Amino acid sequence: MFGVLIIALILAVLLGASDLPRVTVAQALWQALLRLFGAAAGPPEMAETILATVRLPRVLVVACSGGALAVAGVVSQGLFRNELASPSVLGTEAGGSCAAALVFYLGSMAQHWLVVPVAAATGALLTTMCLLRITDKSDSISSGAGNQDLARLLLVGLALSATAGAITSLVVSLALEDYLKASAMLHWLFGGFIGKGWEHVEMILPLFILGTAIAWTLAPKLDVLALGADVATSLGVEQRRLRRKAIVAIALLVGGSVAVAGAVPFVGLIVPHATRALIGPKHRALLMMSLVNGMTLLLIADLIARTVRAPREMEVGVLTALIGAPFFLWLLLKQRRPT
Amino acid sequence: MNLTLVVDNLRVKKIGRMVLGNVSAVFPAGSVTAVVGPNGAGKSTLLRALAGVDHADSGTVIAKDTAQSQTTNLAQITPQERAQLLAWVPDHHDAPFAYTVLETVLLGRYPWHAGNPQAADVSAAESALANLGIAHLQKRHVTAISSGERQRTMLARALAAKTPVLLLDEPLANLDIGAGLRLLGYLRQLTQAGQTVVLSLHDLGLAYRHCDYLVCLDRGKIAAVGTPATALTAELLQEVFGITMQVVDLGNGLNQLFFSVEKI
Repeated sequence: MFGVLIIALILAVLLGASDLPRVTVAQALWQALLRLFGAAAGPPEMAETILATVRLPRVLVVACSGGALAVAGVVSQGLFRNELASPSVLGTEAGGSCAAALVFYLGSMAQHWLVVPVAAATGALLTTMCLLRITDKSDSISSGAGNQDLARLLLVGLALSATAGAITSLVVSLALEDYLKASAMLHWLFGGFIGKGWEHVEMILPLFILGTAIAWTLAPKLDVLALGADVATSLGVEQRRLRRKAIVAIALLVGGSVAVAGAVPFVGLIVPHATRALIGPKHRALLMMSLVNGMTLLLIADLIARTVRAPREMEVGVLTALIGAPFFLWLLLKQRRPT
Repeated sequence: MNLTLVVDNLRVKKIGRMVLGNVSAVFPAGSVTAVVGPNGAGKSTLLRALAGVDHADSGTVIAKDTAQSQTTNLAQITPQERAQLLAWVPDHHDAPFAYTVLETVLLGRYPWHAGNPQAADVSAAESALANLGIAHLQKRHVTAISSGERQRTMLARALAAKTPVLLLDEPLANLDIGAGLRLLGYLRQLTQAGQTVVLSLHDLGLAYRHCDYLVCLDRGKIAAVGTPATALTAELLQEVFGITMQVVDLGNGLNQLFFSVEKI
């Protein structure tokens, strides 16, 4: 799976809107590397500039975003003990988008580069907290888990998504007075990596690393949680602390991704699910491999989005939704097996 | 370590309703104690409160180390320390993800390995599987086995922990009669080595024949405690379960209990 990621990375750097020959790309990469260590002579050539300021940062942002969403999906599914849980299904992404759209509209993003990621993470955090509160209430009444709990989880996710979506629509419609602002906002909301540069790498990278590190420490506890919250408690895993940390990890990861790319739906659903089918449900391995697969999937999706109609681009979020939504439906139908 | 559990005035409320009220009982080390009672009497809640899963509103649970005359208040130790003393198996299980049976049983060792199982953990898990007669299932997925097999997997998960105290909620519920009797026989072996076993049961005949002590709950209160022969009286059964009991002497020192209802 690492091999596939490397191939995807190479392709993502090689291919793009401007048609650079492969040899030039290799030379330019070498030049850029030399320049990094202060060993390159002369002004940068065109190819090198395209690589260093357009393709490389974009590839990095895409990889971080795919990895972050996949890890957030692993943590969500472990926390809710359900393979249908994921940032897009549960409304976490919608909550993050909503908060980010609000600060976008209020124009405060110009003040500091941290404003949008922090707002997106806060939105994701609040949504996940709401979700946990509401689904917990149902748990304390009927301790038996089953289809009812699943239905409730999905319905609460739907309601939260709808609420966040409505607020986002309101903000966009208010923003329509300023055509440029509205169009920028819409492009961002659709979920895409058009024109992402180094400043976006700076936005997502710290959140991605921190969120993944927290998720990594939780992995063995999520294994115990699979036995049920009560059994996990009896095995010494404190539920409150586990849940709090898991929510923070999800919020950081989803917040980071939403801040740079808007909502990119279903990556957090498909990747952990497919990876679990390949290597099993143990959370440490699942987390690492989902990270790799999430990066690969989004790199390929982004590659398709920017080459299929080149020089024009598709929003990658539209693409993942087109693939992901039918996949989700298929999963739902499959889950209706008798237990 | 052999532990006797001393429960003093335990009260548990759930959603404002008193589920257990002033329960006091002793679960001696090296013995099997059955918790019996009608549906909704509070059997599961008592086991959950002992395991630290349900929060007790008042009262104490004290673990007495019989060898070193040392006592531990279970409310004053960390969750991890508690998990090293008591293992609990609930009466129903769901399996959201396809862990193998062996992986699941290894999770019972979590209080010791904290996510990094060592060779000792693996061998404890394997012997627990063998003792419950499900060694052949170890590579199967918990999502793809029968509910009785899953029940035995969860019991193996608790046994693998090798805790001084085992708390088993309806351990026989999904087991076939052979597996059930073998489990009771195996629990007997464990108590002979000093472990404390507390289990809830519906079958009074099995409780009578296979358990050392009996705690009968009725509407959250203790209705009777003692050895099965002294606790299971005709009056108690009439009052708590509304049934009549007949004791038939089988001659060789064994009694057989027959139960019937007069009014349906």
